[in-house]
This record gives sequence, C-alpha cells and structure tokens, in this order.
Amino acid sequence: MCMVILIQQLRFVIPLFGLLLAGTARAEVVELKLPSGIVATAEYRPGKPSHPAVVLIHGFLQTRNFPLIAALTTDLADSGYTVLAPTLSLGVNRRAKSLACEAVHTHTLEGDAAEIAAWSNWLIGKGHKDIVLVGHSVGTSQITVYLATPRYPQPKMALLVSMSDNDNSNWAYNRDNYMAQARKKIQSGDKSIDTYALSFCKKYVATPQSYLSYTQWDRSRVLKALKASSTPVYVLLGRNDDRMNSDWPDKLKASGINVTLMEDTNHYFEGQSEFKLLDDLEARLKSLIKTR
Amino acid sequence: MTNQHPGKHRSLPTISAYGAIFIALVLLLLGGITVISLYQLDSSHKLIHRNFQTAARQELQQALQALQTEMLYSSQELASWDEARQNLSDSTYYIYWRESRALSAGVMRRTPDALALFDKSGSPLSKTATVDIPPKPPSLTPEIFAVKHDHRIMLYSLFPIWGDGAQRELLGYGSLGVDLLKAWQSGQGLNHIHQASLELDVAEGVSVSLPQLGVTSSGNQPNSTAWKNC
Repeated sequence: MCMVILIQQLRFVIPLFGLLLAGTARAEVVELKLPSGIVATAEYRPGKPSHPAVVLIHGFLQTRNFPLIAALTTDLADSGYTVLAPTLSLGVNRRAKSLACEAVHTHTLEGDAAEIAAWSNWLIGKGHKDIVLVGHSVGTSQITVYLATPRYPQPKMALLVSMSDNDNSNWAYNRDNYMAQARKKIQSGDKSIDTYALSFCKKYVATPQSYLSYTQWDRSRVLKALKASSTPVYVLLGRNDDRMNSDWPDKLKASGINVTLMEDTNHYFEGQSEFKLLDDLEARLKSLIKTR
Repeated sequence: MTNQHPGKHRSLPTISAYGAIFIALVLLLLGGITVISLYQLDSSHKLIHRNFQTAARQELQQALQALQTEMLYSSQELASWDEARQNLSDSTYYIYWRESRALSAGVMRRTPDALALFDKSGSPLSKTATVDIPPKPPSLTPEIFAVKHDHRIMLYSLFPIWGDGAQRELLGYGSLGVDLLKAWQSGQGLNHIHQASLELDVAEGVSVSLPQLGVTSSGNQPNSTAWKNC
C-alpha cells in the first residue's frame, strides 16, 4: 500500500528529474581558436530554433562562472533560449579563473569586442541568425565597442545590465594622469608595463595600450556610440549601484537610450533582484521569438 | 708424650693471607661486574644510537615525503595557473612576472624559492633569468630531485604544463625549487637531526633522485643513501 502511494507520488517527481537531467545534459563547453592562436572557451546551450540566441558577457576580469552570468545562463536556457556564455580570454589560453588585478594585463577593449565578434560568427555558423548580446558591468563596454564596429555582425538587440559609468570616480581614479603617462609611453615606443588604477583594481598592472583601451572609452564616447547604433539598446540599472555616478541614468536617458532603473538593486542584481532582472530580460526577448 | 711428625708439618695460612685472598676475590668479582656492566652499557649505548639513527632516518624520510607532497601540489597549482599559461603563450613580460608576481601571488601552497618556465623544447623562457634553474632538461614525466648548489640543498620539481585537460596540447614546462634546510627551519624543524650536519655526498650540480635521498615508495629504510653520515 505504502509502495503504491510512493510510486504515485514519484510519478510527478520522475519526469521533473528527467527534465532536469535533460537540461543539464545539453550544456557543453565549446572552444574557439582565435586569430592570435589563443583558445577561448564558452558554455553553449542550444535552445529552441524559434528563440533568439543570447550571448552573455561577464564583467571585468571575471569568467562565465560569475554568479549572475551563471544564473542567467541556466534560467534563459531553461526558458528555451540558445545561450552562449563565453569566458573572454584576456590573452590567456583556455582561461579558467578570474584574472587578478596584479596579473600582467595586455588585453584591450577592442580585442575583447573582436572576441565577441568571433563568438557571434561561431553562432551564425551554427545557424543562429538572431543574436542578442547581454552584458554585465564592463561586459557592457565591450558590447558598446562591438556595436560601434560596423564590420561585426550586428545583433538584434543589446541588453546592458549595470552598465559601466566610465567617468565614475572609482573607475576613472587618477585617469587623466595615468592616461598622459600611458600616451607618453606609447609615443616613445615604450611597451613596458606599469601599475595603474582601473575599475575595482587599485593596482592594475598593464601595458599602456591595454590601460588606454579601457579608459579612453569615457562617457561621452560611449553615449555617442550607443546613440549611433542601429541596434535597439536597453539599459538596466540598479538604484543602489555604487559603481555609477548618480547622474548616469539621466545622461543615458538624455541620449535617447531606454533605461530601466530597478529599486533595491545593487551592481550585482543579488537576491530577489535577479528574478526581476530575468523577468525584464525575458519580456524583451519575447519580442524576438518567431511564432510560426 | 706427644706424637710429632716433623716431616709432615703444615703451617696454616695466616689471617693476612686470608685477607689477601678475600680482597682478590672481591676485586675479581667487582671487576667481573664492572666488565659486564660496561659491556651492557656499551650495548645499551649502541642500541640507543642505533634507535636514534633509525628515528633520524625515519624523520628525514617523513620530512622529505611531506615536502615532496607539498611540491607536487604546488606543481599542479602552477601548471593550472592561468598566468603561467599566459606566459607560455606570450613571454614578453615573463621576467617581470617571474620576479615580481609569481613568487608573491600566494597561488601555491608553498611559496617556492625558485620558479622557472620552459618552452616546448625545454629551453628556459628567459635566457637571462638563469638563477635557480634546475640543471636538467624537463621531460613529460614529472620528477622531483635534489641538487647541491652553492652550499644549499635545493629540491626541484620539473613537470609539463598542458594547454588542455586531456593533455594533448603541450604548452611547455614548469619548475619549482625549494631550499631544503630553509623549508625545514621555517616549518616544525627536525628533532633527531642536527640540520647543519646534513650534507649530500655528491658533487655540486649533480642531481640526486628521491630514492637516493632515502624516500622509498614502500616506506622501508633503504640500505644506502646519498647523505653523508646517514
């Protein structure tokens, strides 16, 4: 009798378990050899053909395993979207972990954008025509550079989460002096590394080219690039995000960019904010689902 | 009338003679006891010395095994470190990384005294950074060995660094060096061994394998080692 009841209860659980297994079984780590010879990796989850493919770009020096990116990867894949979450190589073959501020940084913002383009082309090669770029934090700067580069296949939509305010006092600490120092080095052909400050890194060890590539994309350049982009761009910001100056949302809106400001949300969209973010993303992505 | 036999007269030993005999016997007895005691003392001393030597050998073996385990862990940590792989892909900033970053990053369980990376052919990434590079070309089989070098005993590990988990793409090789006595001094130290007395019975620069140092996989004591006085 007990066994019968148990089996009756399990008949609901077993298919759910099967679904869970089916979902996880489809996830695979794919590799892409870049023109530099470095091998980049990404998590690839093929979804429904009717749904667009979503490329998720992590934040500064992080990997695809960053909690918010990992959660969005699972959630969007479970909703039927094809998801590609690359770990930007930052010049490291098969980079597996977040890169320390004190490591030698030779990567550039333009190089990061080129890597996103390589992954977009990889997806196109797999038959995905509709691509949406979703970036978090500095991942949004890389997407901005991508959108500003006409030779890259332009996405159907770009969703910029916790978009970088590159004039924020933390991000741009001592920027003018450091930029002058880096420019002077480049002019004299000096490629030696120096310690700068960038984003959350108080000691950022980089080549002058690497440092300048990130800092020369200041607010005005970013806003100009987004304004000029033919791709619909949506920005999602947390009201409690301490990585932006308070006027950043208004500056974005003044440039004609669609901005959603979420209450009780910080830079990382932690806790309940993650669900609100997912709902918002899915609501926007639904418009790209083909109904035939 | 007395019956006298002058030819058969016997004079009894005097008391002095008895005393002398007694003293001689006592001395003989004491001498015997002393000899036996000294023999036993010597045997005990030899036994203690033997036990002490055995304990010292065991301690040396255990200390070497512990260091070997730590070096194997550290080698794996270096081999899987993104920054090491970065340098093997582009060695432009290798010297800076090696001198200023690698040894202080805290990535490895034990901070080594020496670190070097080699390209696929086994050549050091930097020809100028030759200090503490092991005097032996690396091979695909990871190995640990000791070398007497400038009055120090350096324990080196040499290991391949792969670009992928399947170990199909060889990027190069890594090497870690640890000053043996310094490592033991900074740790718990040795109880049965006077560290200054430890010396390898080999010429400078000659590599000595772990079994030659007394580290055996079976845990048994080897018959002879490369140590002096061991």
